[in-house]
Amino acid sequence: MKMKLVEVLRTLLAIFLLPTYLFPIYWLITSAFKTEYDVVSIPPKFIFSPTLENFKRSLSFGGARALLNSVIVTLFSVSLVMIVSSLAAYCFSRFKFKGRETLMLDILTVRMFPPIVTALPLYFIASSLGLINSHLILILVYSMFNAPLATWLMKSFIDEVPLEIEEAASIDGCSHLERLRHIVLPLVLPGVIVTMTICSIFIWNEFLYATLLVGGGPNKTFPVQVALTVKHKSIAWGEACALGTISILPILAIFILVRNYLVRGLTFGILKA
Amino acid sequence: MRVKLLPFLFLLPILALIFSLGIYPLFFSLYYSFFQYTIHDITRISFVGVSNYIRIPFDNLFQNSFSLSILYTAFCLALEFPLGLGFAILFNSERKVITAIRSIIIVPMILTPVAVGVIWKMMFQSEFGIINYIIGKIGLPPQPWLGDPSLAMVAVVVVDVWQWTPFIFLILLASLQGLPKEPLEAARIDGASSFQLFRHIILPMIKLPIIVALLLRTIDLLRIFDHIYIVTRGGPALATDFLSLFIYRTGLKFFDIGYASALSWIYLFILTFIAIITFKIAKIKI
Repeated sequence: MKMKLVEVLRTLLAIFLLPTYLFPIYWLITSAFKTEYDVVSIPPKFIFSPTLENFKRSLSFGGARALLNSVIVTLFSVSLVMIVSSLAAYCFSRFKFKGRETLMLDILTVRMFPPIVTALPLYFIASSLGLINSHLILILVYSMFNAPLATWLMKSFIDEVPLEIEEAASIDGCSHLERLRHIVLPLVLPGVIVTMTICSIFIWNEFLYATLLVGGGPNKTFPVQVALTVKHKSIAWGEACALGTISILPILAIFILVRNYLVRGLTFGILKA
Repeated sequence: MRVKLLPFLFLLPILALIFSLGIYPLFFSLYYSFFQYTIHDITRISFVGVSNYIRIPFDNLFQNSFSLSILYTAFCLALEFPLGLGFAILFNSERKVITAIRSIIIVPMILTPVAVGVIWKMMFQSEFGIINYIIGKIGLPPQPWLGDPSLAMVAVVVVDVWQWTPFIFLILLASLQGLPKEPLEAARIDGASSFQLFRHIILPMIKLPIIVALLLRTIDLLRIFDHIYIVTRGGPALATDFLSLFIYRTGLKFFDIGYASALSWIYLFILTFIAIITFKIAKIKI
């Protein structure tokens, strides 16, 4: 009897929760296909004739360029993050040295910094170096911010590779760097993919540094482009929704592909405690 | 000697990144926090000692931002924690439907915050927004969600609760699933009710994950920026002008660099303090 009650409650809550969670996303995507007239209609239109006009318009006004910028910045940042963090993770996993644990915690502290605190001085440093409005500064900053978490994730994966496999290779005269590249990394490939996915999402989504260090110029990233559309008093909602939809599509795709791994990565560290 | 040098070489890239883009900027801002330095008079940088720091507690705008940030954090946690815990208990089951729901409600967490801002800003519009339409169906009058100071606060809390309750849910669910089965069964055989079971056995066992989840959320809530910037931009009348937005404005709109640097350091100090507590409690094992 009691179990029945729990079941009923569960089902009721699930029925209530799903629309609460999915409706806003559904509303964004459908609004992107409405005409500017339909988007703001009172009462809201649930049935309408879809149009691609918003996508065409928003992409032609700098949107396509911003999309390309974001892809470039994300690809380069993730590559740099993976190089830097694989090296560090291998080191933390395989070498025993004084201060290792303290150093690992110190590195993770970087992630806890409120971005605005480093963003201000970085703005002035970057402008004195002439790096403002460049992709390079964003790539470097994103790598710095994501390397700590990536290192921790990668270390947890490398820890699972038995040392014996590596030792066999070291007899063949492989250096540590060769072992990492040819033996360890191929073995932890799923872990590499999880780490890359999580870092890509963070980098793709980032807004504060992007708006500050690059702003609304030709090199602007996609989230900045989205933000620009809702800046003024009269907002072209259809366009804003089209851009919003484009920015979340890759994430939804990733979610569908690797959701189970994602959960592991996102709850990482907390579970260890 | 070679053995000692090797670990350092592997760590060199990450340390170089962190020092040049993380630590150095911090000290840069520490340095400027002792100077009067504004864009209006960029040629004159004058040393002012700690007066930037002394100015902070007497600054009305800071007091406003500080109390708003605390209030916002408290509201969000007060809603996210009970909801997250409730969902975790209800969805702690391996049925197929439940696992599907579980993975769907984590989607908001990974969505682009700016896009989330656009979604809710549109839904909260007073004229054509779907939220006023829905409350109209229930028979309530339309509300100026983003035009009224207290309603704007409600709106940004709703956004955060929607996006981040799944985070608490996910952590608590994982810790519930990691609980050992024996003590629970033993207690049940001894005739403990479900409530007693929860209150005296389960709750003490998941105390640690609860504290860690709450502290991590606190850090995130205190540094919130993205969706607020889109939905309300700190308004109306500074009603949602949280610390990050306030420092952003001071530094990059008014270019009061010395003062913004001092603010940053106080802000960092508060957050580091919370982070240290988190680490201490979590006792993260390497």
